[in-house]
Amino acid sequence: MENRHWRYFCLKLGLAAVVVIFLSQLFFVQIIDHEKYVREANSMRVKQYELLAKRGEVFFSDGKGVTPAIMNERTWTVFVDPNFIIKNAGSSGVLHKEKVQEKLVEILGERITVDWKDVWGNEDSMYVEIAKNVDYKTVAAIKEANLRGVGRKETSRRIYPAGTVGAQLLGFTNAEGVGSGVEGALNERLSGKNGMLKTVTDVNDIPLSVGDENIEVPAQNGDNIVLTIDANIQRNVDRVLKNTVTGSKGAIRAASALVMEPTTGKVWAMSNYPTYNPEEYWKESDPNIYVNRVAETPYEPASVCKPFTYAVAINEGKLNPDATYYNSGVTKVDDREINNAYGTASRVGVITFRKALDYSLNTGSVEVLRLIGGGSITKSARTTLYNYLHDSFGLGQKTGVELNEATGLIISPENEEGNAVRYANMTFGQGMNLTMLQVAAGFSSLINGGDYYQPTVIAGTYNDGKIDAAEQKSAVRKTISAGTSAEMRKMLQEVRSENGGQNDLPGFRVGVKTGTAETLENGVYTSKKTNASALGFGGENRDDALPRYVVMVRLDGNTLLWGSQNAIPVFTEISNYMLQYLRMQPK
Amino acid sequence: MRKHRSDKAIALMTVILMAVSLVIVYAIGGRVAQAENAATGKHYSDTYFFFHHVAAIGMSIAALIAGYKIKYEFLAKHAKKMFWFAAVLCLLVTILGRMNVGLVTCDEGACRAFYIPIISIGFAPVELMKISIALYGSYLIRSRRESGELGTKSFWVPYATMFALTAILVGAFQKDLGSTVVIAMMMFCMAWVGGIPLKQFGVALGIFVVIGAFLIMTAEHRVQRLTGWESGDNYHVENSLISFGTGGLMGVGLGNSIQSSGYLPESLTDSIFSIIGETWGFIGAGLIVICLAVLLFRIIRVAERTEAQDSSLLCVSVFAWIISHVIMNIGGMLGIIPMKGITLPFLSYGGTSMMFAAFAVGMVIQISGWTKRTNINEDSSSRRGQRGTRYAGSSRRS
Repeated sequence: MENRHWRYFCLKLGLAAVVVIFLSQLFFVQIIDHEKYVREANSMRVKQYELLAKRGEVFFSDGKGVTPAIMNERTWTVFVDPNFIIKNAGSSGVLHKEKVQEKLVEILGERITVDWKDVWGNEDSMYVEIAKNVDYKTVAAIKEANLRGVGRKETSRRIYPAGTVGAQLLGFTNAEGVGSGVEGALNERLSGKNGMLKTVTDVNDIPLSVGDENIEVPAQNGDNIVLTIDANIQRNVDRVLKNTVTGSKGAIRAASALVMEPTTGKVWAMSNYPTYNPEEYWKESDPNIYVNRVAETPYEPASVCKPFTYAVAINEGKLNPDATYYNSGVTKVDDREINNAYGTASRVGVITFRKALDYSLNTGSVEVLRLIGGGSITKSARTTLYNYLHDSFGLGQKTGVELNEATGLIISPENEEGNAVRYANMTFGQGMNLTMLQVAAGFSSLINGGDYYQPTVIAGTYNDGKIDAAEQKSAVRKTISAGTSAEMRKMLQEVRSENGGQNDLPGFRVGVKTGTAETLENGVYTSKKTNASALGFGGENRDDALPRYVVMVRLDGNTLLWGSQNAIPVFTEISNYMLQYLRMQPK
Repeated sequence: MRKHRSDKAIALMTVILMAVSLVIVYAIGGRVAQAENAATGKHYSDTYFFFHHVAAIGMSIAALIAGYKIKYEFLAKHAKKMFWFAAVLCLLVTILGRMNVGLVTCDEGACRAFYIPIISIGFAPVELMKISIALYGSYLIRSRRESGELGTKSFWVPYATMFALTAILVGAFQKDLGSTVVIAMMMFCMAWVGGIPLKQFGVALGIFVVIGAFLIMTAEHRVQRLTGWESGDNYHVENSLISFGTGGLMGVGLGNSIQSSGYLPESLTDSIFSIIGETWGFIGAGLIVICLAVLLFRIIRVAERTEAQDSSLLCVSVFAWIISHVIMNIGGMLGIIPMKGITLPFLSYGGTSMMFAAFAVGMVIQISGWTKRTNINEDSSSRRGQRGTRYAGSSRRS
């Protein structure tokens, strides 16, 4: 047994060798190459995710609470993995592609948006979307069918519970986040901010709480916005415009209307017709249908602007409305003759300015500008008018409403084109480009005692069933004195008595001014197609009561339209609705 | 000879390793369960693995005590029967696996263990095979040496038959190269220490290499395992190395293991040493290596100091058993040799492997009470330094 000793020694040597080899390998891997393996591990295990912010929802006001305008709906996109299905067909529960197709057609039917030939055509493709915006019930049926190689992922889409109501105002965003209306203009506020999650994950990409690489920036959900737009008023105005256009037998190309509260600047309705369904906006071929013309499409509003001219002169102490001038039906400014509108021939003679406004005589408002200039249309008269219109009433500049809007244009007297002829035209609302919103906001200050409020469509935010009201903004500036404003209200009520006043609900005070504008066709004014407008207010029949609402209507004609004939009935219908809706006491 | 105190260090190391394994299984069991559930749709609870492991360790300690208490002579007497019984069970596992009757667990076509559903315990007959070969192999060498037949036909025929049967039943039928290598190691070490002439030993080694090469070539998954290792494109090894590497010097700390969340395959069983490396770093993994080394060293010391040759060789075979598991497991996990899919004794989760290894160590502890080195309380003078002289060649047990 003497050789047993060294044989044991060999085993011990083997053991020692194993220990040395293992310890040195551990040392190399764990100490020397530690950094390398940490990098390798992080590249494999640390994942970065975007935490999606929930897009804010949009609500109408409705007098008492809120009415949903734009909501999020969970939907699903169904996709197939042709590569997987073709490769594994027949094994472990994978059906053949024909069978898969048959089942999907059975469940999805019309919702399938692809050609099956394209789906199976490319064997390498691993992801083909076959239906989008699939509802829960249908997607549950797909889940039930347990088709391997068919996937579904949750997405969200915007739905408009009120249908087309306020379509141009609400708007939409496309896949790139570019859009129109509230959706487009308030996109940033509605989107919120996506968060970020950097985390160590397990092999199935499920985040783990261990490790020191984890960073989480939570998503900030978008604001749920409550609009000042009143669902009831908006719905009603939409309906009125629709009936007006469809009932005109093609005479009216398009109609727009605006209702706002003159003492706050809150917009209650912004309506346009023809309209579209924002849930399926891509079905429209003409992009003009998306435009909220109330704020985005300037036009020459014509005579509805005359009250501005009168108010300037009265406020400057240059006009006594009861003073008279001689109306010959035409007045000459520089080398141009300015005529009154058709159908006013009977008004020739000496006439008070008050009456000139009632009959909407262009000569009267040109005469008023002359009065401002002390007898002629001087530069100082033009500057005075420009300062009032542009700087005080805010015409020809953005109102600052929380929507996309156009600037419009008023030419300054400093400009060569801002000559006497142009300014004579501007006294009756031609020769300048204004949006309805600008005109209505300026007009609100004209009849509310002279306070200009910036128009707004945002009433606040909506969280947990409660409205968090936005701060009520005070007037930004004084436009005219309260006395001038009171005088203007009186004059406009007189105008109303000549223009459909008999149709007002009894016991209220309603004022209005109409306008009929020739339109530009290929750079030349044509009187074959006109735009008809009406701009007015209504309120209680008390001297101390300010008007409660301002309504502006614009009709674009395919033929000759008249403010007094075509726009007034629309105004009346909306105005009477408002008188009732605001629950005012008739007197 | 009188019995004296057994080697407490062996028991201590075994219990330390088991305790470490329990802590690791507790720490990662939940994460492994979640990853497993997500990947396979099973429904393991977070504590499933831990409680099963507690039970397995309880049974292993019972097995260790049994190995210590059950008279070694009794077991040695029935070693031959035990071997045949194990061989029949090995065959049965293969047949039942092929017939697909259920009572057998198969993994990628390799059926290695019975599964008793009611108590949800698996049993791999190859473990019984290891015990019986340790017992019968050591008996065979001792008895042939006594009769002077060591190295003759009457030794080689039964010895080689035993191995050939193992190679066929375990290596070929169960496709278990790892266990075949373990048994080969046990038999080689016993033959080596048992005093087989060097020339014969060399020939046997040569034959073994040829058979081994044949087995590797005939089983596709083993070829893949080899080529996979050679090309460095082995997911398992890569993730094992990432475990060790990210552990660094001190480790990521208990409960912070990320690799166990599904990246590292077999985190609880074969790869548990990698998780130890990740959790406690170089310090922890190094201490475990040292723990295992102490255990192995103490076993071989018992072998060396035991006069009775069969008990001594039994210790040698247990040494070979454990060290071959350690070499193949840790060597594989560290990327030194190809992965074998073999457990790490006393550390890997559950199963019969730990119970049988514990039983074997229990037998070594029993034998350690009969060494001549430490019986200094005998009234004879100290026998320090007299190893291998006074009782040399004796097979007598008192």
